[in-house]
Amino acid sequence: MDTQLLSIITFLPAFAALILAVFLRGDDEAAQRNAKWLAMITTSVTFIVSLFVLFEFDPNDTGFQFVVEAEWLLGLKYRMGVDGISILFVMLTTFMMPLVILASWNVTARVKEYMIAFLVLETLMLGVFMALDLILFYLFFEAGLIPMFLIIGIWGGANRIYASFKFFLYTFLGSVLMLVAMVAMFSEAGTTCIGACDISLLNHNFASEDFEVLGLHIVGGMQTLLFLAFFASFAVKMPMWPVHTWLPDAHVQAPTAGSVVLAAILLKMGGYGFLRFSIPMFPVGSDVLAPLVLWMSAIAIVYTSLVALVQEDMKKLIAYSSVAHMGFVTMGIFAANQQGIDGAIFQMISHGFISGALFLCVGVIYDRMHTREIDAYGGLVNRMPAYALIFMLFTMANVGLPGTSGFVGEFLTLMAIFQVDTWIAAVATSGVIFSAAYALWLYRRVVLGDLIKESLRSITDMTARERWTFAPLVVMTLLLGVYPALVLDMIGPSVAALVENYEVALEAADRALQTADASN
Amino acid sequence: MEIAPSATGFVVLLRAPTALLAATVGLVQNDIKRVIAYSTCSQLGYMFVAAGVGVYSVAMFHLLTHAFFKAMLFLGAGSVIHGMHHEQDMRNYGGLRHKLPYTFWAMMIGTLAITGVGIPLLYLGFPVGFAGFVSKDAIIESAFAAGQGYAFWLLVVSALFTSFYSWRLMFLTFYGKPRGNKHTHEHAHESPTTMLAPLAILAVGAIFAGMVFYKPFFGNAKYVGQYFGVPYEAQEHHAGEGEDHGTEATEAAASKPEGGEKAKEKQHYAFAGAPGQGAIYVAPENTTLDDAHEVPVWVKLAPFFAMLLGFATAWLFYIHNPALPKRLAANQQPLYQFLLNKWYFDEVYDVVFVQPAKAIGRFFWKRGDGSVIDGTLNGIAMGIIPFFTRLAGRAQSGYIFTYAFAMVIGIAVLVTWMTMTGGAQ
Amino acid sequence: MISADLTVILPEILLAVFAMLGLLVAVYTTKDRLGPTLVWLTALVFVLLAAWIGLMGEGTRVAFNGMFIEDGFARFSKVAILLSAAAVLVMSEGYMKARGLLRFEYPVLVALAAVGMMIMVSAGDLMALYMGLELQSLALYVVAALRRDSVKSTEAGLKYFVLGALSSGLLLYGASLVYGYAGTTLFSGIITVAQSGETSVGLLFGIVFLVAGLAFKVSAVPFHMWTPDVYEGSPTPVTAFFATAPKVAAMALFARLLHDAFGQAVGDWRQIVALLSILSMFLGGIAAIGQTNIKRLMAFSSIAHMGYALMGLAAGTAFGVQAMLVYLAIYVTMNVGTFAFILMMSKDGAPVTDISALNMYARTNPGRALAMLVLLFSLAGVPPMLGFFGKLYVLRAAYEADMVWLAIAGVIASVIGAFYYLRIVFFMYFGDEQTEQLDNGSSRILPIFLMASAIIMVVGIANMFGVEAAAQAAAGALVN
Repeated sequence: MDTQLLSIITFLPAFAALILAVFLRGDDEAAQRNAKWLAMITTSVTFIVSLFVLFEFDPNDTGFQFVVEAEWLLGLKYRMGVDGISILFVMLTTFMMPLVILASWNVTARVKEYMIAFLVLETLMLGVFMALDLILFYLFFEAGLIPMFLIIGIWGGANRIYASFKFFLYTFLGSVLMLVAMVAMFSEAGTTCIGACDISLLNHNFASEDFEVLGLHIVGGMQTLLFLAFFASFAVKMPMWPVHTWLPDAHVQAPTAGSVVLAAILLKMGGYGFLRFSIPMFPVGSDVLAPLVLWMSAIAIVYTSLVALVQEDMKKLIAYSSVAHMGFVTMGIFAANQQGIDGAIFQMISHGFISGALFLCVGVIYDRMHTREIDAYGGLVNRMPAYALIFMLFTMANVGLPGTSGFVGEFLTLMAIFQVDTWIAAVATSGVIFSAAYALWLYRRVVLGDLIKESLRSITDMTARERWTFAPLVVMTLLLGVYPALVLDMIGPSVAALVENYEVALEAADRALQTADASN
Repeated sequence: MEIAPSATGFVVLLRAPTALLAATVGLVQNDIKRVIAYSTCSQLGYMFVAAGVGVYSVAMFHLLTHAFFKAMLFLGAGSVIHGMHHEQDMRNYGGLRHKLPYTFWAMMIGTLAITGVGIPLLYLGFPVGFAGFVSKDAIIESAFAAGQGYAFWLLVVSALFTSFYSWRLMFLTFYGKPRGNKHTHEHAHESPTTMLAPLAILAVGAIFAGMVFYKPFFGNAKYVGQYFGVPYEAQEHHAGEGEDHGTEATEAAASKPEGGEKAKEKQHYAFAGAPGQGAIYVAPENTTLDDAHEVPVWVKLAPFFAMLLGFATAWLFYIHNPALPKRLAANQQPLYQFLLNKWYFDEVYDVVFVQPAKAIGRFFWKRGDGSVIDGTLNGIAMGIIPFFTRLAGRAQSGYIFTYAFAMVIGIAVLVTWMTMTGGAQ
Repeated sequence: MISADLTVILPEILLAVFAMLGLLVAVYTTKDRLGPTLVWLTALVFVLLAAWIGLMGEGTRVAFNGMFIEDGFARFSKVAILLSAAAVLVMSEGYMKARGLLRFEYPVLVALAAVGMMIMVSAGDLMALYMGLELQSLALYVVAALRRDSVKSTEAGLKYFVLGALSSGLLLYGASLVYGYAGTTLFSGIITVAQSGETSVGLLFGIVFLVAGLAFKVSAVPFHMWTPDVYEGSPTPVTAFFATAPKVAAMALFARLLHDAFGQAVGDWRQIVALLSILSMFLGGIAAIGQTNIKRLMAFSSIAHMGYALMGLAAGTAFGVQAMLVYLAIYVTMNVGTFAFILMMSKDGAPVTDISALNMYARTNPGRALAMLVLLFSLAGVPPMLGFFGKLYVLRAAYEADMVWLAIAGVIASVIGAFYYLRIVFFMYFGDEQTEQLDNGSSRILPIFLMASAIIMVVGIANMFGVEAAAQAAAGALVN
């Protein structure tokens, strides 16, 4: 029982979806209620089971725990496990899903399909974080596109067709290049096993001698090419500038719950991918391209913050803000030191809560007024004080106010990048100022001031259901803000091992290069 | 900051003008709280100048005293506003000392404190005067002692302005004839005890805080060292006051003066230790604290005279000849507007920072994201590929001969390709 | 001995005899009224033969002095051909009966085509190759024009015939060149002559023409141009047949020819096949984007899929052949399901082939729409469906044969191609509302095939039911 926990966590939502698909008939009130409750119960049970895993997890063991294995096709293996880096992403997913279902309680169109799509999506997302086989990872990673495509396309806004196609094809293109790289890795290393096996890809040294391709001299050789292929995929997923343009469209057109899932969980897959694949498996490639990635991150932070400043649609503003925060994440990851990666993971977890909450905030007023235009609002504090408070808390957390979890992540990543390159640190820090600018300006325009618009005169404050949706997020944001050790202790040893292996690998490659030079 | 002389220099360079600038703005503001707010800004300039010249304890000293009298001024203003039924414009005040006596006396004490009223050159182990007198003068002396003439003069002029606008506030609010809404004036009332009690407590501090805390903050290195827990050492003797000092520290422990020639000769101390030992770190070369006590007499008197001058001018403008301010303002309209609009800082910031940021943001959004990134991708996805699709569609003409021809071309291509890449002999 | 040879070729003989018997019986008795019975009977015979062949045992047997080879590869291919033909036959019965197309010749022709296909994949000689190929082709030409009162159907048959004749001519020319330079038509003889680095120009030209002729059958670019028109014009069940069994047969023949006859000169023909592969993948992806007729769309889709199968072949290794066989098996299953769905598309009894007729199909028929969604994503190669694994196999084969560029081109083409599959999903799930929805259809067989195919796409990823191992054995038998 103990060892199968991960499979249970992963497939329980899909199983519930299957039950919904096969046994639930009709689209009337009762059927809708049943669908919602089944989804709610399933996601909550999944969360509780994942809590078992969390409590039994030993942070000091830097290997993979709770490993599940089975034979599969093509010489591949079905293998799942968690380590310090992935456990918190799993928890984030299982934590957010019940809240997402709760936030979707008012959906009336095709509720059964809606719940099925989200449950399937949860399974696939959990699979991504727990997969220990290369192709299995790819399978979960890509398959997640299908439910998201449907969610945006069916329950989305006015321009949803364009957004859903864009989302799918953009991400798909990035990922298929990753597929070729995976095939290459399979051939070179003879295994697709990521961890908890005798020969693991984590220990394999991919060739890193320079070579020529089409007349281009590629430093770092094969590792650089593999890194680039994986980078294509994860950069689109994160999203990094300049391949970020799918995110604002997707967010704006998706239904509220879809946006929450997209921002809180799906974006983290990119960062997780960098940590699980790029840094440990292609250290030389990462080292060679780190400056490029760091500058892209710095530019992303400033560029998207400036763009966020002039947005007129609330969701687009928060979407661009997400891109900026992910810039901090990539910066931390490619600083490649303990603080950087700690900070990056922390920032990802915290951003999951904060941006999820912000999208829920937008959802609250969108449910009432059916518009996301900032101009349509103003002075909400007069009629919605509870909402104003919650919105304020998460706006401040988004800016990175100390005391909220947003601060810890930003601070750690900035400290880390300062040790690597002070110019990038300076540029990134200026991004913090811009984030304060757009966040506070948004808050002022929407919430503060006098309530003069006629259309807003009868707007109601948050219902009990909405308050309950926010409560866990508030708790987590504040808790992690004042006691970040909760997260940092959990990930510390694994991250330390990751950084150490990275540096050892770089040194070894250096020495190899030197002996090669000496012998020439 | 001790080890970054350019940083300290930069701080002084910017903060001395801050003191002056904020004071100038406070000269003409009409909202009672705005005057006090700009006064705060000005006093903070003082504190930073003190930090910039190396007397960190004095900066903290002024922070402490400032807390007392500024809090009192704000709470007093709040009391006035409450009593005048939320009226904040001083042009609608006047003659309120009869209606709000306690508030009046509280604000009087606060004003005396901030303007720096005291008895100069009288030293009973500590200077005698209100809180602001002790700490503000300490800063001005230190600025001179550190050789920062520019800062010194700016601070003195600021003291003059400080005095002017503080007394202007008092005169406009509590003296003269009632102006403004008659109804509000009739119903003006003193605030409840809950609001007055804190004023009383703060008044005590505003009066005594300077004298009581003089030694630990501005006495000499020994007292400051003891209070802040910073190591200090005794220095060797030197003759006279105001002359060059010896700079080496000799004995490790404090020792008594070796039976000096003059009875009045003071023992000099210098700070020692490394950063981290104690609450503040002062480099051993930093003798500004000591030097501040050795400044010429005129330096010690300068702020006092500035204060008097400010008081006199305020009295002239607002008690003796109330029409004077308006005439001066009308006469010097540009200058008046400049000061009234806070040196147009907000407008400048808007033009220099806000609008460009928004413009850049819009540019990135519409042109960057829109034209370049999306343009490329949409161009490929919805432009180039459909072009090829149409091309392929046209090729599929429906005529057999086209198809057959394509096959023949295909064969030709294949043969060519194969001879080029295959192993033909 | 002749009896030994006949034992080897027994399944083909039995099937041919059955076809001729069926023809005679039908002509002399009730003619068209025997049609349905004959269809079912033929399908049953197919299934039985497939079971027999599949269980026939191991090893390689050669008949008629090497003209007919019966090995693991042939067995795998024949099972695939027979089962898919059986499936299509069963699916076509209801549709054709409803439209009065079910003539008794139909199952007979299909049976004869199957005989041709079986001979093709077992060919050990250029003559045998040609015989099987022509038998299959001629039967298919007639079947394409089965709807005698339709201009489109006649056009389809005619185009197929004329162009097929051209390709046969090219093939024969190539065969004659090869014979001229190798001295024999037996593959086992040719292979001794066609050694790598020693092949003469004439021999190489011969290879090219042979490949061209076969590429026509496989509908690889640039010999694909008949495919859209023929697919669109033929009656839909016939299209379904075209898209499945003959493709398997042609690809298997391709593999057989290239490895058995020219297996020592892999470097000579690899590049050509790679070129065909890239062109097919890209054209199949790009040209389909604007299509609104679902049958034409499936035509281009099959062109693209054949491109991927050719990628496996282009690798030139045993693993490449294994990948190709797995891909074909998956492809056939997907197509059976997809065409089952297309056969069900009708409005007021009349068949509909316009994609936009599928608007909001998910609302009226959620189960079938979901099955179609699974199949469409599988065709696009999106995980977790089985179609993705087919792509993975061929990509791996290409990479291991050092054809990285081919692999990269393949994945990019699959992204382009994904678009039109997504469009159908879009129509079904979030298109515009329309008043007239498609019929539910009275057929019970078609939904079964649709659902079965979709379920296999999902369940198959856990375990491919032994297809992998069989393909590996088959490849091993061919490439030694």
